[in-house]
Amino acid sequence: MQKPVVHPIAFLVVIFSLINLRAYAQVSDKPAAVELPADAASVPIADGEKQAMQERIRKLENEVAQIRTEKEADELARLVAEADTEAKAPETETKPEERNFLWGALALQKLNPEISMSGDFLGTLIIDKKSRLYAGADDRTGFTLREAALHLQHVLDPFSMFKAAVCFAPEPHPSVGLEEMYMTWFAIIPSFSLTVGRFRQNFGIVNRWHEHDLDYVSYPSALTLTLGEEGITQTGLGIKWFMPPIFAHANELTIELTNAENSELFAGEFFSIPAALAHLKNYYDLSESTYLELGLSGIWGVNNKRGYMRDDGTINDEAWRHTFGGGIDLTLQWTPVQQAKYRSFTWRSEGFLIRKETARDSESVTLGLSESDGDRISWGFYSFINYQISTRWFVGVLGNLALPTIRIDKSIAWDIGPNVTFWQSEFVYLRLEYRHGEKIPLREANGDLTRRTDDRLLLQIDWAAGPHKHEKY
Amino acid sequence: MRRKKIIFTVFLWHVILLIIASGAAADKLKVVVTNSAYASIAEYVGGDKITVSYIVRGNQDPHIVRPKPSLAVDLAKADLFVATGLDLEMWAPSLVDMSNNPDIRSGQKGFVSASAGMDILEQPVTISRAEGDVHIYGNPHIHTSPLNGKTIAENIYTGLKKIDPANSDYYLSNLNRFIQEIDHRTFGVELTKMIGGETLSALARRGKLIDFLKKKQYKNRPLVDFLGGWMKKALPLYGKKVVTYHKNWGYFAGLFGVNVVDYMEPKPGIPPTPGHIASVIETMRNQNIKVMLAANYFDVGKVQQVAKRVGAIPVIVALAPGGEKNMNSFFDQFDIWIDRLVKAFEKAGSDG
Repeated sequence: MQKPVVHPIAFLVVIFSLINLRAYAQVSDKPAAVELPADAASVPIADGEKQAMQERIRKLENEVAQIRTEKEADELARLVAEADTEAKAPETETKPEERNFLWGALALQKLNPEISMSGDFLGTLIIDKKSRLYAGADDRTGFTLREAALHLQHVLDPFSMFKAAVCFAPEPHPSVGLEEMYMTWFAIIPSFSLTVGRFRQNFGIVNRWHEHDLDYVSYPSALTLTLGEEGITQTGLGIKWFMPPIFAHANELTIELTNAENSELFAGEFFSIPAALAHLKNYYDLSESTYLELGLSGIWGVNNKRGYMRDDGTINDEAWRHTFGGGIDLTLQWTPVQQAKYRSFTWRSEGFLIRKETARDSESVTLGLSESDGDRISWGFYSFINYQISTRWFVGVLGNLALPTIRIDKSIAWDIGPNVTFWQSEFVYLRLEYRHGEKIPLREANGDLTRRTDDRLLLQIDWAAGPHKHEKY
Repeated sequence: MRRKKIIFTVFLWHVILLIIASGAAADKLKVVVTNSAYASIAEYVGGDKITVSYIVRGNQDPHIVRPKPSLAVDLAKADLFVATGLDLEMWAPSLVDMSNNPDIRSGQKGFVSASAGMDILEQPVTISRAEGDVHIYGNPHIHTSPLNGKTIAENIYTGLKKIDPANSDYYLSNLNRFIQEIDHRTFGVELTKMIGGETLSALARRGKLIDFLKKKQYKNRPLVDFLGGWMKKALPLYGKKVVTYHKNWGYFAGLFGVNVVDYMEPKPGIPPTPGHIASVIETMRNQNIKVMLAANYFDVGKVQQVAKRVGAIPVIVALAPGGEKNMNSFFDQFDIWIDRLVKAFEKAGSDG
């Protein structure tokens, strides 16, 4: 049996090449190729020897691959570690002796309510020839700081919150008044909230709003002549039921039980039993950009004066006299979704009807403030349109018609007022409004009733400091 | 008689089907979110266990939303309400009040603040209205960074886990899938596998990712060669200057290295004045800024007018899903924003 002959030079060449290959693989990522010298190929190699060599090559290749993998893993681990270090935010160390110990209990102002202040400035230019017939703070040419109001609100606990509006009226009759102060339990039971305190009542829509939130200079005369100068704001409680939508996209029912302290409708400070109010809001989404809101209101109370001592020492005890009121409100709002910042259109109308049982021998008749007609019907209606022409500019017009509740004859008051509003920012606006109309008659010194027209130019400047903005909801 | 029976049977079947359908819907948790981007994320995390509705459309200004009663109806039935949690949606508390739903109020288990645990950018040092409609907690447009999407998803997961602990494993698995998908889409699959999504995200949040990847090597190649996803697509934007309308893009610009040089609004929320526009035009000319970026609910005409005057390209996009064609998810918004910006810079042929 002949031994396989391996040329020693060929063997050395192969081994040398493999050593080179391994060394090369350690410094290079490129796949190493085994290259034999040209003369090595010519050296005859036995099959067995060849197989053994191939096996060794494979082993060495695997070894090289493993080394490469380990090297890459090491490299990656190093990169990850470096990335982790780089990603960490630098720690700021304070030396113990540099620490300043403060007692949080002595600085609890973060628990203070949200505090805001609003101001309402009005410039009036009476342009009527009969200006001698104008009287009172708002009825003369000049400037008025109509109102400064302090607004507070705070979440009291996980169940309730409170809101307050304290109004300061400076000249000519300085006063401080509590316009609103109430607390609300958000959900005494799901879908129901309970409010107690003094609040602007849900009779229609704008009666609920503060004057500085309106889209015109003052409350519509349709409202003030029928419901009272400041609308209906009374003390009591109210329950709001956010109903499951039954015949609209949203329904809300409000029931309020309050002191009947509104002097135009009820007995004023001589109220005896509470007044009840109900408001049903029906809301419809007409499209993505347009909605319609239709509301119905009703109010009942008594207006007789009972249980107080007259000057002559007798107890006043008038018979029951009722006041019934009804209201309807309609709002159509268009705000294109993509252009909400620049365009909107509002059409809002409200109508009020009041039936007040009056005494024929009432004090008001004696004073000449009212005709004595038994049941007195009064009503008011206004309509308002407002169009946003750009981010900051709005133009609108308000029209009012009313048969007042407190009156000396049955003449109808009316006015129309176009306006333009410039919103300097969400917190400041300037408004110019022209108003033309016919006011309720005035009794002159000789007892004659004189009808009065009303022509005036109004400049309103409103501002709100703090988180409270001019909000309408 | 027979006819009446048939009618009655059909009616009865309808009633039964209605009850079954309403029962099936009632099995799912109702999630209401403010922003359509949050809706997209909530759908991913909540899967088929929830139904999601949103208030602000993708082409709507989230600052200005009328709190309509019909929106409150939705909230009244909500099991979970997700809001940014900062001072962006100032109209939302009114809606929550209106809804009389005690479970979704701030602090209750049905309320989620999407921004919780997030590094909020542009927090004002001094809070003053002199700075315009300033956001007192910082920039609230958090959904413009995919990395913030991970935190939003984590917060939504926490909310779902609180109200539906029985399905928490399901939500967790969806959350993990979402995070992985965000990492893959942001950094590419290969780099995420190499370095890890968390580390890459941390580097990116600190604005160090691109420099790190350019500086380091792996397998004798710069690490940046392994970058994929949106970050790779957006590499041409890195360091590029733009003018935007509003401070909507702070998180996006920070992540992708876009340099916002000026704004059309002189101060946040204050409409552009002629004087300010003149100053923007001058800045753009001086600094050779060729691209403008604005959400499509702003005055597009004004952006185009300025762009025309300086020869720049206006990129007008929706700010959130649903705000324009093909932007249907949180992921789509980044595809579209990056594509449009890259194309705009290519077209502008300028390094800005």
